[in-house]
Amino acid sequence: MKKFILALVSVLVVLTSFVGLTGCSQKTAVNLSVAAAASLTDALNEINALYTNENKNVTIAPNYASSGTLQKQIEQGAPVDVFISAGASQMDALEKAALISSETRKNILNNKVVLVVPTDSTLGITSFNDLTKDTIKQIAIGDPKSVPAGNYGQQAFDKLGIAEQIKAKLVLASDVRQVLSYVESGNVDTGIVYATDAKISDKVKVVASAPDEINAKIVYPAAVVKATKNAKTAQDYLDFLSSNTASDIFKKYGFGVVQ
Amino acid sequence: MTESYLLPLWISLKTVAAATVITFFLGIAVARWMSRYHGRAKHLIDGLFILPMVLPPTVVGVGLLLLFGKNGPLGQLLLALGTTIVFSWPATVITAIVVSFPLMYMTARGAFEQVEPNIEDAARTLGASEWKVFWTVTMPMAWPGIAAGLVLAFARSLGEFGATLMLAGNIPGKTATIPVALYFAYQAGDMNQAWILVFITLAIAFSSLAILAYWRGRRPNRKHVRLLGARSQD
Amino acid sequence: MLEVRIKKELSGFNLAVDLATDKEILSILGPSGSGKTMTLKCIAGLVRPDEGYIRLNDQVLYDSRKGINLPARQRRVGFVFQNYALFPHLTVQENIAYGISSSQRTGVKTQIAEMIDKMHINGLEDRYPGQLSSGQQQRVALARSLFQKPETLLLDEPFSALDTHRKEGLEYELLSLQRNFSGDMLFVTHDVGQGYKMGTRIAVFESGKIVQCDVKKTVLDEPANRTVARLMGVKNLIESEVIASDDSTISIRFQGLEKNLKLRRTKNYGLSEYRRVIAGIRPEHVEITAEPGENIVQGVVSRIVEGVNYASCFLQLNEVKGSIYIEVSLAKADAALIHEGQLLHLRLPPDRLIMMKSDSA
Repeated sequence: MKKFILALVSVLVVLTSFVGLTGCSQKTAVNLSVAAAASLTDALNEINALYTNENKNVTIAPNYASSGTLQKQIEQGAPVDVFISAGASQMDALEKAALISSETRKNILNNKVVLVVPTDSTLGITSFNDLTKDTIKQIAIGDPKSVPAGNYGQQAFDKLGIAEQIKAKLVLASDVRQVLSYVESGNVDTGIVYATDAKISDKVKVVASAPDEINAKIVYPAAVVKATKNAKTAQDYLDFLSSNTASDIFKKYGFGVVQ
Repeated sequence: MTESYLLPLWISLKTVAAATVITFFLGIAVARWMSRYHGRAKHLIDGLFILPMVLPPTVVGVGLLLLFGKNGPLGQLLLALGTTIVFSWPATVITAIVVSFPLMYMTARGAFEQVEPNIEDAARTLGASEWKVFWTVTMPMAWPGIAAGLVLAFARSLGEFGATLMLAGNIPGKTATIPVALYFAYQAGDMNQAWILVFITLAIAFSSLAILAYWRGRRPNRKHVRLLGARSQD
Repeated sequence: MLEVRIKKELSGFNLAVDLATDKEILSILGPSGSGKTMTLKCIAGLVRPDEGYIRLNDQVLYDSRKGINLPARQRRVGFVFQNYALFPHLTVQENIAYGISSSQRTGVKTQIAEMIDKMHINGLEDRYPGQLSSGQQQRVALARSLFQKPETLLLDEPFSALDTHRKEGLEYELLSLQRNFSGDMLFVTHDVGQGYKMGTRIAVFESGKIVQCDVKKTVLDEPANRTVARLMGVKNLIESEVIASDDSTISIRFQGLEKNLKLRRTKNYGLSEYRRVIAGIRPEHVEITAEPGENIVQGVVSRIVEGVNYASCFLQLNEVKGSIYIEVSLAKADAALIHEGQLLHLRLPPDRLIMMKSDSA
């Protein structure tokens, strides 16, 4: 009997160490939840594929929405590892609430806010000021209160002094991709999106750019969420976003990369 | 600040009032027609009328966009007439009607089919035209069911969100109904606004329930409707 | 004067009705589902026949060849429904006045009061139908229809929901109403006794057709077929054959019984020898006898049932191949004198034997 138990235990020890050894030679599987502004959808999808290809133990679960929505979700405790916002105010709010690791925060991208119209539009819009014309009935824009692109757009209107005149024409959307689809469908005359959004769609064309002072403010901060359980991988991913490979992809989609 | 919750209230009231009135008459007319139609396609047509009730509101929204959008059949027709429905106030009314109609139709039909045919026949033998039979006999007898349908339709229109957002969009002061304004207020983190809108919605809901209870109590109802005697076999 | 000749295809049977009435009460009897109510509804204009002709006095209500089909509201036909069909949301007064259009409103109040008085429903003017007894509801339904001054009144089992005591009261009221009523009344009922009491003539329906329509005594004494006979209480119906006939008598034989029975001829039956018929005789006409004579058959008592007013005695004829039962009505005192298993002689009086065509004819 004693011999039998001894034999059994030794077999078990061998088995477990075997498993342990093979386990040690690989990293443990990580599921990284990346919350990113809607305007990053296409670029990040490509970048994420590259990252998981190089880091085979990592799977990325992306969540694209307006920065305001994502901010609320993180505030409510959603299990996000990395947050990339399209505006500073959302990241500021989270930093103030100590929900992100301040030392990991950095600005990674720039963008521009532009005015787009459907490619077959005959309304002849060439500048933001044209928005006051009677021929423009509807202007799609992300809700300035929660969508950074919309907020910048509103700032542009204020700066140009046309805000009051066009107020009644604004159709508020919940994120910038929705603005894009509104314009693509032709149900609105024009919309405010990022240059990067306009680039991926062949159903819209850019007709004007927001004033430079406004565009200069557009930064995309990224940070690791404090409650993350995958701090190491999260930081690694964040660093990857600044790598040359990632930067090339971002530039391809029309983003400006912060050096 | 006051403007931001008065506006959605005003728009919701306008929308719901218009939609409920239209749904009321439309629902009753269609229910009346269907309760007497005995053709082959009856079940198919019935299913069509009830469809918006079982579909998710976003699917309804997509359907309406396909219909009324720039490339849709009705959209093109309207364009030719110089207007468009998408992202306009009438769109809120249309979506409200589409989602509340099945409720009004179903309850009205049930109510009409419960009215004893002999009583309607009696009215006819006493010289009543079909119109008179409907308004003086059928409707009063079907009223409790119809009132219930009315309340359901009202409540559904008031709460309609998904399809409304898709067809009418969020245009503050024009198409932003209470549910839409509520959603965007929450998104923007404006909790004050959100709570005020919630409170307003509750107030409307409770007052309509109170009105319904009052209406139903006033009519000579069940105890007077009970009749004696078996139905004839012939 | 009401003339009805209509045809309508229904599930189960085809309606083919031909009747005429003139200032009388026509009682309409027949089994359930034989087309009685459907006929009334066609006359009232609530149902459209497939083809035919309906005329009421000087007005053609329906004529399929000319494409005439007056809607119910234009026919001067009143209808009292089986369950009264009163408007539950209107008061008695409002029910009665329902048919009056707004242009005729002047002077209506006095007329309503008169009608209420006539129908003995005083004091109920402001009540709702749900607050009335069935007898009262019945009167209101009658008042409501009569108020329109119809030229014909159709009543579909108007008393079926009432208890016996009230029924009789209303029957007599309706009869006296009819005397003052200048039009015809068609009275559908499943209560044969009631139909007999109320009507001057009786029409019997079977499977959508009128199998007999005649003065009530004739229907009683000379039923046309098995259905009518059963309805009229001729409980003994026996398959028979005609053996011989002359001007005053017909000889028949019950099937299986080698004995000639004589039947007094009351009309020209138009039947030939050896023709199959049904012979019938009422239980109350069968005599128990000890004396010999014509039309005597023998039977063994198989059962005695005591009823309220009399007793019924069932005998099985014993000279018969096969079984024939005869029911005899007896005074209870007489029934006490006989017992089961007893052999009795029955006399079937020739002037009480009835003959009618058999089912297959």
